[in-house]
Amino acid sequence: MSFIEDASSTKGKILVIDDEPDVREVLKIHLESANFNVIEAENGEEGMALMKTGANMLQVGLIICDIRMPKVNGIEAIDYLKENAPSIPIMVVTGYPDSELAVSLLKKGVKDYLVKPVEKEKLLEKVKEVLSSEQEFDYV
Amino acid sequence: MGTHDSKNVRAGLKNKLIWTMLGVGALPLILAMILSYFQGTKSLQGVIGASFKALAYETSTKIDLLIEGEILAHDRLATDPLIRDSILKSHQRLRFLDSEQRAQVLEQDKADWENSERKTKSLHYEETSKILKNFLKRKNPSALATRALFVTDSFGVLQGSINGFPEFIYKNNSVREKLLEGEKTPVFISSIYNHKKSEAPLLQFAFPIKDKRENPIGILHHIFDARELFSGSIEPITFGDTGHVMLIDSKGVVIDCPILPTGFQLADPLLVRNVTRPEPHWVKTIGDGHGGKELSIIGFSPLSLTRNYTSPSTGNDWYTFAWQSSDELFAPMNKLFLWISMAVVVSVLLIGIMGSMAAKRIVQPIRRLQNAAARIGKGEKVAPLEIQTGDEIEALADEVNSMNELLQKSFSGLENQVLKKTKEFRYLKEYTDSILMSVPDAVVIFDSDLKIEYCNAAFENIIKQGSDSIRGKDLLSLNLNLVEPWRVLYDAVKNHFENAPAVSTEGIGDTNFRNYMPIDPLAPKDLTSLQSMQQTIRLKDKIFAYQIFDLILQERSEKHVGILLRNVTEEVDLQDQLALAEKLSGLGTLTAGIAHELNNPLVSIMGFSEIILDEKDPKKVKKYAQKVVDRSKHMSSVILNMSGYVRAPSTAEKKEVDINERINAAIEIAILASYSNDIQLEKNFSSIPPVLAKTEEIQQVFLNLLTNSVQAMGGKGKLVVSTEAQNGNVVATIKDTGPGIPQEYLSKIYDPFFTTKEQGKGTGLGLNIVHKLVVKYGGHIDVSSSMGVGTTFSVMFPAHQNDC
Repeated sequence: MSFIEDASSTKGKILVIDDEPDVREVLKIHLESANFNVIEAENGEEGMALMKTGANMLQVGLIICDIRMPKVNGIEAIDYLKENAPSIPIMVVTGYPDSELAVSLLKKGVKDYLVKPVEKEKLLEKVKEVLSSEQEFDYV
Repeated sequence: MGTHDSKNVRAGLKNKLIWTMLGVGALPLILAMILSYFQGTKSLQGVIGASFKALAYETSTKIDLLIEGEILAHDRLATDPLIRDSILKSHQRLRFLDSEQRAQVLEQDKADWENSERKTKSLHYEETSKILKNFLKRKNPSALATRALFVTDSFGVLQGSINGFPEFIYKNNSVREKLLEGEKTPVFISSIYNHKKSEAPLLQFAFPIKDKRENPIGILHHIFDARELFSGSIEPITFGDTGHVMLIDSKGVVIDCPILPTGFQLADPLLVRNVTRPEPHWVKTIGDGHGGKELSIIGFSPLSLTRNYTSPSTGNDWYTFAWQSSDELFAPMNKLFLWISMAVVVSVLLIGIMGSMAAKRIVQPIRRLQNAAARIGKGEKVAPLEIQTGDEIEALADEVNSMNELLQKSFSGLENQVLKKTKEFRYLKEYTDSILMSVPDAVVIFDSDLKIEYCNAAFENIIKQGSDSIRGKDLLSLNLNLVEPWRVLYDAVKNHFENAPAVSTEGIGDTNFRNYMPIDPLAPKDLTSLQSMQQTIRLKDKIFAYQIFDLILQERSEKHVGILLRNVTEEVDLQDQLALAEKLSGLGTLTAGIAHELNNPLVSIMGFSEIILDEKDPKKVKKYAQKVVDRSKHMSSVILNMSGYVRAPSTAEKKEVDINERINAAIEIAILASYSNDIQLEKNFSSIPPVLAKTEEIQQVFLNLLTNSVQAMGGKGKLVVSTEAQNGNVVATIKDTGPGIPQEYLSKIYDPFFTTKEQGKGTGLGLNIVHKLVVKYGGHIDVSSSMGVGTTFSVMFPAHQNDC
């Protein structure tokens, strides 16, 4: 616990993509309370653009993504991210509970699938679980 | 091969052999005989001709000698001195008179002569007559044939006669001219002529009487009966029944002939010309001068000595002419012909009989072979043939024997095989038949005239008729109670026949699984229902789905089409249940949408509440609490909005719906709901046919579209609604002057929960519902939009055809 807390600031950022500003705010406050650095995007398109700016590709350690969003939706955004930055773990937080979608997304390499509303404790626990697991690098 | 044919064949070989032998043996024989007949005939004719010629020549020589003898005798008579003196004495009285005086004297003498009645004849007349009579005492034919013998002087005065003939003066000037004047020929021989008194044709010989100085002073005349003169030389010469010799002159006048009268003129000038040639010869002529018209052989010969006298006298030549009648002449030839013909007939008969025997010998074993072969052909068991002719036929029989043996062996093998194959075939046929007969689906095969060629038991069960009464009929002539469904089926088959594309196996690719895309659970699902395919017919209480397929029979080029009829009554019932399930699944989607819509504010409410729990700064607590309140309000509005969809009734039956009426109702609600007076409304309604649908659903379509438009314009703008009938369809167009839909959204507007409206104002279900309803009624929806100008929706429904 303390190791993660210590290292969290150095571990980089968490990108939150959600079209609801309130949801982003809640998630940000929750994550920041656990010393994570949070950047936000309003939709999949903005999220992808954000990943391309600065050193985000290297600094972002986790992406939390909604599914139903205007413009580029969550599934398309995940496809893009998995193609361009396969080693960055992705967690889905969505208001739509669908086991088929969950399975297909997990098969694609999404680390976790949480259904809104998410309790703070559960969110942080899952985030830490994902971050503590081994990173997947595609060396080829 | 029938028995009748084989009989013909059997007779054929034997006949052929006999005919061949006859041809080979008899034909040359007949030819040789005919040749020898003609050659023989020719030689025979030559021989006959030559002998005729010889006969004619001999006769001519004989007559020549006769005439020569007469001439010599008369020449001697003419030089008798008493006759000469008598003429000279007569001449003394007349010689010094001129012609006028001489005529008077002769006139006087003549009158005296006639008056004296031959009693006062001069002495020299009597003497001369005595000499002449003595001359006739010779015993030769000429004496007998004599009709007159007299002497005249150069003036024609009679100087002596044997019988007082002629008159006192003999006035034949031509004789005098020939003998005393001009040419002075030694002898004159006249042509045949008829004297008035005597009936017989006469011939005159005349000789000049000369004085000592060889001057002619008188003429010795001798007149014969021509026939009597020559008959002794000619008429005895006969041969056969008709063969004889005749004497003619070069003008064709008969001098003597045993048959024709003397003086007769031969009628045929060609014949005369042929037989009056300068040399003895024989000719073949048509016609014989005796009335016959057949081919004749005539030998002839000129009288070469007599010619010297007759030619200067009258210009005539004399010819002998040997002849025989054609019948008699050709009798030997006919006999030859008869003999040869008999020989031919006999030899042909002989060859025929011998040939028949030989042919029988040859054909007998061949017949046996043929019989055996025929029996082998019929599949009978045949014992080995025993033919010992020692030739090819025996070899052939051996071949047939070994063939028979082999055949019997392979036959037994084949029989087994055929039995086996038949069994297999029967099994396969029964197998396939029983498959077709026992499948629960009805199978009907049509030929190109749409007549039923085959149907299985399931089909027979459906129409309750046996297959015998079905086959060869078309669907409409089956005497079925329900005509209408069968007509639908018939038309479908007919249509397929006329429009069916070439059978192709292309097009069933593996496109389905090329790209896997995780499905947005809220994206609309295309569920094809059996009902929407419409390929069903209803027979009483059962529903049958049908499928038409092409049947490819390799052997026949004709097109065949089959129908597969499946009882889908249960499936359709199931389908109805499925439709209900779909509706429920729509509800499921709705709940998912509700979940999404509600979970988002719930996140805020829950999150902010948790933050408040940990927050100590009262300002922040207040701020987050306010957010909790806001989000809760939003949630309640979402729930309120959604209730509109949920309460949509769906129990009413379909009926004819007037679109114009429904649009009017929808406009009223939509504009009322907008709480606005700034919307300019334009209605361009046409008279349109009704649509078969549920009234509420049609109204829902237009209500949703109009609500969208009104909301899009923000309560201000122009709304144009128009309807029209197009090709049996009804088209309604709704045009607004709103901000327009961005191009990238146009493909998503029918997705459920897609909305551009502010949070809390739309559920994202309006256009989704519109789309579902339009598709449900077989219609179509189109949208066109340009940013800043407006959006146009056009909805098409098929009009209800109430004429059937």
